[in-house]
Amino acid sequence: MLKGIWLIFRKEMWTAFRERRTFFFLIFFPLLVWPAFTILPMLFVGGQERQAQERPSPVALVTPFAVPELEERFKTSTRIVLENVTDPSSAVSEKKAFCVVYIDSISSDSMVLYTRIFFDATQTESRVAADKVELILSEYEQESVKKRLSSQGIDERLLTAVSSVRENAVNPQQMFGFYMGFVIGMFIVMGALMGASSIVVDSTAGEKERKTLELLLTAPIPRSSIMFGKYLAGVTFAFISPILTALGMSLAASFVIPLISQESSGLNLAGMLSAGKILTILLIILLFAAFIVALLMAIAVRTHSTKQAGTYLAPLNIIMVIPIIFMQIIPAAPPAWMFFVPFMNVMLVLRGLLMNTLPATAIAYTLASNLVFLALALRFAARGFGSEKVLLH
Amino acid sequence: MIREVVLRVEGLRKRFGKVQALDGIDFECRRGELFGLLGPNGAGKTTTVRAICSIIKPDAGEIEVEGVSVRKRPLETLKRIGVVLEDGSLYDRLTGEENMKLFAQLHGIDGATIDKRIDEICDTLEFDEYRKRRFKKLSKGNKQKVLLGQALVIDPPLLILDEPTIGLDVPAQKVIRDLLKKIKRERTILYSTHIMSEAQELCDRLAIIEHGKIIAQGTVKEICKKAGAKDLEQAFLKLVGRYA
Repeated sequence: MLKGIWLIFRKEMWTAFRERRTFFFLIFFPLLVWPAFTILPMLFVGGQERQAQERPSPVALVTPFAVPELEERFKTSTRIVLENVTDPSSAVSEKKAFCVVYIDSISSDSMVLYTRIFFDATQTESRVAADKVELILSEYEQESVKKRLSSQGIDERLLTAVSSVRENAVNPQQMFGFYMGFVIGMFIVMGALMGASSIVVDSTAGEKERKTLELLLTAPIPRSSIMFGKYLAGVTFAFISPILTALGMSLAASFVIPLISQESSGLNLAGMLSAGKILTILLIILLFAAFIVALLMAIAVRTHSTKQAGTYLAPLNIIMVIPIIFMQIIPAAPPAWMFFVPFMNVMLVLRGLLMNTLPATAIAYTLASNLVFLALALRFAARGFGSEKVLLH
Repeated sequence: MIREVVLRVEGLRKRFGKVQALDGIDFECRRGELFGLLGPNGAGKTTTVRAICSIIKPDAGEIEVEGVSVRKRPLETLKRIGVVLEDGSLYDRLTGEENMKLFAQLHGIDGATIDKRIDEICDTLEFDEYRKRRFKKLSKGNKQKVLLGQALVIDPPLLILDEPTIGLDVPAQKVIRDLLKKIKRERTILYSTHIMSEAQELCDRLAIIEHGKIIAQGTVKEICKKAGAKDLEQAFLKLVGRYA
């Protein structure tokens, strides 16, 4: 039986590696494309925001009233560069200024300025400029109130009941783990699915379509050997693809980001993982790969062409996107039941391991539930391979 | 001299839903005999072949290959059978030689024997210059040679050929027919076809199958005599009730 499994496995691997698309799905996409498509946009957005923060933003103050102190504050602020414009709205849309402060009116006692801040919410630089302007206006307000209270002989502390400063109790490594854990988890789940789909569909529905499966069934080896040979080839692909994806992401996060982003220098993804954690991650990925391939195989073997298999497997991609969407709002310490939800549990465990916040029970729940899913999917696949109706129609 | 029975099919029945595909098939093939299985499309030829090769399980009946029961020991019987299936194909991304090698390995044959047999087969089939070419890039005729090669490389006592010349051009058909004439003395061949001229030329004995039943069995001469026909084609048409 084992020799039969080995021969079928070798045949599947051999034929897959002679296909050009295998290189793209197994090597090129996981190592280069996924990291590039994930990290580069993040870097681009982050870099844009940082640059906008560091650079003086071109803003304008349009006022039909004389507000010399405010004008002086705008002129002397190092955060901004004052531009001359007349129409606030068109000035923003034409990018003459990233943000325009318009003084609508002044109260009759000249105590209150009514202002409007024009900015473009779709532009990072404009949002940052609006934040800077709000800060300048806030400082101006505090200063004005302080002067008024002082002139009345009132202690300014009368208006201050609480003074607080927000501090992030999570260290930068954990923050990094929170974001990278989500991204890596997502790509590991998707990488396993994409890595395996091609070979699983080709070795089941594809063989039926090309009429090679029937001849293979005349070989003197048990059908279980044929199934497990194909299954192991699929698991190999489903395991290698996310590993390469994770490797590509880790390399990009550890080496490429620090080269172009000062904020993340010193954060080393590889350094965050002990040998035990790496082994746990590999075990989780392996089990997930085994489950996803059994599921793909169980579905694909029941179709009669690669096209039909693609149609049947498409909903699986959509089902997998649902936990990915929810991952963004799931807290760092999720409730235990979430570790029993397929796809989601893998992403949660990976994120938890990177953040160093994962209880051992969560890993146990994930391993146990994925083992149950694997057994069910394998049973379903084996029933397909055992049925002449399924294999011949 | 009565030769030893290599394939025995007895009372074979198979139903697919409302269709009774096989309805009590009985025949025997003896060693060194080329036995033809003739019938119109949908008569049950391919279902019979699939049952002999354990691809499907019959509802009733018994099949034995060299005395070994297909029902009880399917893998043992498959070791004794080389098969070319109707419309069957091989792996596009493997070469002709690699395809033959794969099936020989699946039959548990050792490497040195495989290499020797592949050399012989390529020589016999005049396939040597194409053996390292990928299956996908071969002509239809050469593909059929590889299919025959994968069946012959295991050196089986029973060779089952289901419509092996269908879709081939005339020269390619001749190569296959010449090969069968050459090898039929060395092994038992079950030859399923609906081409009467081929059957008349090649078969020692044959059975005509219609609606899952054998309606005539014997040598070409015996069948023609039974039907009162001058040749096999006329006999066939008379027996299946389509002779105008």
